[in-house]
Amino acid sequence: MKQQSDHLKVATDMFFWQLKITSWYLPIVYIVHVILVIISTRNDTEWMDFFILSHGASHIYMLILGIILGYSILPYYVKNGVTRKNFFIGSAMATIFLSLVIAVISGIVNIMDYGLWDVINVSYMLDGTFHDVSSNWLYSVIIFTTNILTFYLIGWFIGSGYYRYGWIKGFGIIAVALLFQLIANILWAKDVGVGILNWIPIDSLSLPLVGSLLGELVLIIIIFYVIRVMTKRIAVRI
Amino acid sequence: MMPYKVEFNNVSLKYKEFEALKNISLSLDGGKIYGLLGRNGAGKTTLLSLMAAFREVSEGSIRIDGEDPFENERLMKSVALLTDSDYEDETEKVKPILEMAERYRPHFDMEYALHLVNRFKLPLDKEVNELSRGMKSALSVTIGLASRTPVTIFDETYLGMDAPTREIFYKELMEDQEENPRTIILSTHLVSEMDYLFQEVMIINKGELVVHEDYESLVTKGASVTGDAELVDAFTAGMTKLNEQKLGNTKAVMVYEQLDEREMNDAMQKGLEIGPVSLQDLFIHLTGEEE
Repeated sequence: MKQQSDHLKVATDMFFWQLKITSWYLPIVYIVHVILVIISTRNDTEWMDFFILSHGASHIYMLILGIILGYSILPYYVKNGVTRKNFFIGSAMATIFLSLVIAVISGIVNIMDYGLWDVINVSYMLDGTFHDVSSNWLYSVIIFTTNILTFYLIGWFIGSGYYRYGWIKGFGIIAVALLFQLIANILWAKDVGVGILNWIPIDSLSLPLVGSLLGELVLIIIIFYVIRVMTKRIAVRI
Repeated sequence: MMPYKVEFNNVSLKYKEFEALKNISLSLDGGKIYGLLGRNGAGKTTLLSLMAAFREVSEGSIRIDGEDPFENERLMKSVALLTDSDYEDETEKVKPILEMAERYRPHFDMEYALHLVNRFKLPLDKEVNELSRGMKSALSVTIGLASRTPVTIFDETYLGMDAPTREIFYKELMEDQEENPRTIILSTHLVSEMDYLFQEVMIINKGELVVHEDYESLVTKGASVTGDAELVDAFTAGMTKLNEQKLGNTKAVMVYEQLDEREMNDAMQKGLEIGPVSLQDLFIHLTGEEE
């Protein structure tokens, strides 16, 4: 019998493991969304729709998943006889797919959510402006995917960095992670926000959509590369 | 299956300034049970981590079945290193943990694993981090034995177990090794209760390999010489002394020397008593501080 190769096993395992956690996470975000819609409707204020709420919340969620993966899952696999390379490839595949799945589910739930409020006759005021591409669902899903993937990778980078370098040098890792996040924000013309960073000559780039997307893809490739270099020969402690 | 040969050629490893392993060369033919003895901090875990490709050597080279194990897919699957500190944050239950090993270890035998679970009375429905220390050790041991990896290393995995549980482990180990011979390395400082398991013994001290011998020839290398102090001193002059004890005019000296027939006869004529030295004693005195 031909054995399935390790990186595919890791990809499958990592995907379903994280999907299991996500099956808790997304319903919670949805409940929060419903509560917020009810509050905003009562107060006659406008609120973001589910897609946008999930997009924002998933940044943090993915960051945390990434940290866990980098810090504690790699050693676990190495102890089970999986090479660092197979773990990296498998996890990368799982992560990309997970990001896409969260984006697609968020999109579908969003459409159903609008329908639900209509059916039960609640007059809502939801803002669905998503990177100015709200009307194009394909773009919306792609951007959602790349945005949360970037944050997952930043988490993975932090987790592996802390595992490898310990707490003191870990602060350096945080600094680099913040830099990655800053670049991502600038690419998507988000308010860079932090006062200290006002010396940066550009507040945000006004890139066309494709430019932002390509920029983010390059950033994703760079972070993937940095994680691989960092974990390629990483020592697993016992 | 041919046993996997394990070879270290001038291997050194440094943690920053600290030299954990110093120029270690050894060759294990495989297919036997090897005891790796050393005091706490002697470098046992470091040495074993290198074998299991948990870390990379900084100097020298390692060959397992002819290849460098580091990031080597075939060899990483074939070498398992089990400790007793693996499951502190593990919220899975026993069964999924076994399934994980089954998924990634090509020779894993689930039926045998469940037999061991039964022998160790491991609860299948409890989260692993809630298990007692002894039970966690038993789980590690179960995975190690059932994985049937060509090179299986137990790094003090049994420390948390109570004595009867350790006995079960020794028994299962012997039986399974009989049917599925592989290269098994047991690192420990519980020498006296495990010595009967070892076919070969390695002793490391302060990062250096001080002994690598067949168990039988190692224990015949030690002898205790007891009798009149002056006669004992005369007899053992020039020999490697491991320990001396004196009570009144009687002296007992432990030597690290294989006595030949002439020396035995000589001792007998002088009324000296020659006794064996246990592996435990050899271990203690070969790795003790010489003051």
